[in-house]
Amino acid sequence: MNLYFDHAATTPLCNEALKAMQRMLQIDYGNPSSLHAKGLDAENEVNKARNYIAKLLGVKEKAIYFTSGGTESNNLCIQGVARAYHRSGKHIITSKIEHASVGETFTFLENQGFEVTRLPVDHTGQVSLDVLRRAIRPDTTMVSIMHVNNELGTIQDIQSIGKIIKEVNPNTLFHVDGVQGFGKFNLQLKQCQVDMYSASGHKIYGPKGVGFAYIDENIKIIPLQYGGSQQKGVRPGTENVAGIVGMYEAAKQMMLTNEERYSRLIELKAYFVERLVEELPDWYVNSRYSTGVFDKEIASPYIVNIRSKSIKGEVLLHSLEDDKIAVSTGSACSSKKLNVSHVLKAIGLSDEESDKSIRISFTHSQSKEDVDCLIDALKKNDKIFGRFVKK
Amino acid sequence: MKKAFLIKYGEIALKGKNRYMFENILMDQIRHRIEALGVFKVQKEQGRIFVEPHSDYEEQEVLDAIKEVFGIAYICPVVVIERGDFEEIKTTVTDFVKQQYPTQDFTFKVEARRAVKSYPVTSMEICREVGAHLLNVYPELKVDVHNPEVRIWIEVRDRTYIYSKMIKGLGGMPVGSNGRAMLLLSGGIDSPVAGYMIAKRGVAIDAVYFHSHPYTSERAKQKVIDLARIISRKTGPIRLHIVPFTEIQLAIYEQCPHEQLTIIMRRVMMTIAEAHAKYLKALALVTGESIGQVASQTIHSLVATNAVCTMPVFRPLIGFDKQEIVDISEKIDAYETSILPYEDCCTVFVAKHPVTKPKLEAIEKSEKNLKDIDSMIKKAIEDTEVIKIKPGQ
Repeated sequence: MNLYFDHAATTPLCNEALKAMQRMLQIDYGNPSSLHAKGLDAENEVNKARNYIAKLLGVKEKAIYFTSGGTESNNLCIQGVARAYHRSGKHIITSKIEHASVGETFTFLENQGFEVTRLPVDHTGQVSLDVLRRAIRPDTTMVSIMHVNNELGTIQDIQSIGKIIKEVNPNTLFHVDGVQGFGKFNLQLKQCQVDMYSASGHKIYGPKGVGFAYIDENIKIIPLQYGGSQQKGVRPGTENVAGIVGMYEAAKQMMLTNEERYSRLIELKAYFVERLVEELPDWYVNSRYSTGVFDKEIASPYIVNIRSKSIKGEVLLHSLEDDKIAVSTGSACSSKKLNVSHVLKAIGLSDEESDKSIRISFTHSQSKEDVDCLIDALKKNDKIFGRFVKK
Repeated sequence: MKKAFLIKYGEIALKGKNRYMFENILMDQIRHRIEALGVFKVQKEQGRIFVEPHSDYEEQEVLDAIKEVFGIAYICPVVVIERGDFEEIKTTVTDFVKQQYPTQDFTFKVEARRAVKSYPVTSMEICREVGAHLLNVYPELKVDVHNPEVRIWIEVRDRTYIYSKMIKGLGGMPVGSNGRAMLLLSGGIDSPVAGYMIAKRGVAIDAVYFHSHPYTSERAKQKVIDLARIISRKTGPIRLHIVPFTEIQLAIYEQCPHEQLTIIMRRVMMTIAEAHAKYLKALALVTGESIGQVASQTIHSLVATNAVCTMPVFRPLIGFDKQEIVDISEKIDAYETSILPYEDCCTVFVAKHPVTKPKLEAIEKSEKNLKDIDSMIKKAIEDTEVIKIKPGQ
């Protein structure tokens, strides 16, 4: 693929991560649990990564647990807490636009006898704070709401959400799925009263198969798996040292260039949306526009979701492949299924509209010329396939 | 003890003077399937085929491979000894029982066949004597001539074969003994089963698939390749023809009544499949159609589709219910792949209310509206991609 507009699905590994990983795989390959020096070296590397990530999020380093990625982190936090606190209550809250690794975990718990409230969102994909406030009960043990939505790019006001939860019920724990936000948006977890947080390595130019969960040190958690005493038994198993170090290097790179990258992406997305709206009258933007003001932002400049009046998203996706352009229909994990996006449904789109939507996700190294190519390809395919409307 | 495999064939045995041809094809098929698993000698022996290993081999692997060959009734892992004296047969059977069964406390029956009538002991005597000997050595054994748990066969031929397991083969006729046909393969459940059933009658199979990029994905294409590979384990090599179909489909969509789209599309598919079939000297087309399953498979629709064909069209599933087809699909390990949810070209432009009783005249009239259809068909045939699919890849 010459033009890859699917960075919300995954990103290529950055050179710094690759170099560090190679070292960890071939030279400093020790097991962090081994007693000898080789083991200690590996342990130190893992701790360095843990320390960095903890500082970045404004939390204690002993509250960071490395996992196999976003899905495991979400499962560990949600299942682990729901099961550990089920005697205090069996009511748990999430939103209607969560990633499947949160949504399906809630469904699993629902089948296990938990009562689940799924909060609606407005047309931009934001959870209403009033609705949230009314939903929290004395027996609510947990609220899980994602930071940045993977299909729309909508950003939730995590700070206000955290404040409301703790106001209504200080015992309710707050989990945030940060997979699309980590490394891209500053989120101080303690300050926002977030008790648990999930992230993944491969969305920020790190390797696949690694992620982490932040779980506040005062929280009881029932692990998903049993084994040795690594990571205090919360996540036993030899740590994926190379993956962890790769994720750490990738996160460092993201931080070095954060501001510059951000303004560039704002510009890129605005340029794309502007051209789309002007030149493709049969196309609509499902995502919220960016305002350009960092802390007031409710839309990620990394992601824009658009829809056509007539062309099925999947047809467009495959026709863009001929132009060597990669986009996505909804989240990559579920695009194999031919069902309607629950996220787009939640913001009020009909099944047909949802079926005709695609997601474009940018990266900072892309240019306006790349966006021009994308727009030109959309125009070309719109002309070819737009007249074949479902009769 | 020297081990080998004795293969019994079914229907071939009923053939007349040309039986040797069927036997030779069957032996070739067996040789192909096992050549990667070791060095084997495959030969005929009085109405049986005998596979003798001349190298190390994994018994289960060889059995699994031979089991995929059409034309086989039973496969028996055997122990072979030279025809020998009767005492040797007795001791070999004794060892055989010990080796095959961890405990010797079952009911059994000895069945003997003396193909070489010059052998001094008759089959009745063999049964009696060997049975008595076994009872002597293993006192926990019991004879049950009606419903034994274990049957021990002794066949005295040029050499003597001893076995107690008969593994059922697929039956049918060896592929290649009955010409060649072209299968219309979609990504669904039915067409792989149809291909399997025709191949089972000894017909070599090639296949044609209609690809509508970008309306169908690369994964849908890969799925069809995988399905062809799955059935090729039994049918042998398949030349899979991937026909670019988008242009034709869109032309039909724009220029013909929408409710007739599927019928007209299928007629064009048949035309293209037949052209490829003729080129490969195939003698018939094969489809997975079954009466009344969908709108395009009502008897009226089948008549309208069939009208464009000059070759016979075999529809082995014509009288099958869906569940019966699913059962076979599962048996041949195609089901899991068939139900993967990638769109195939038939589902993209489907009308809400397609015709179920098309009139041929009406369809032919609509087709007249199709501009340049002949040149589009010609182009689709020329631009067809052919993938050679070999079993075991």
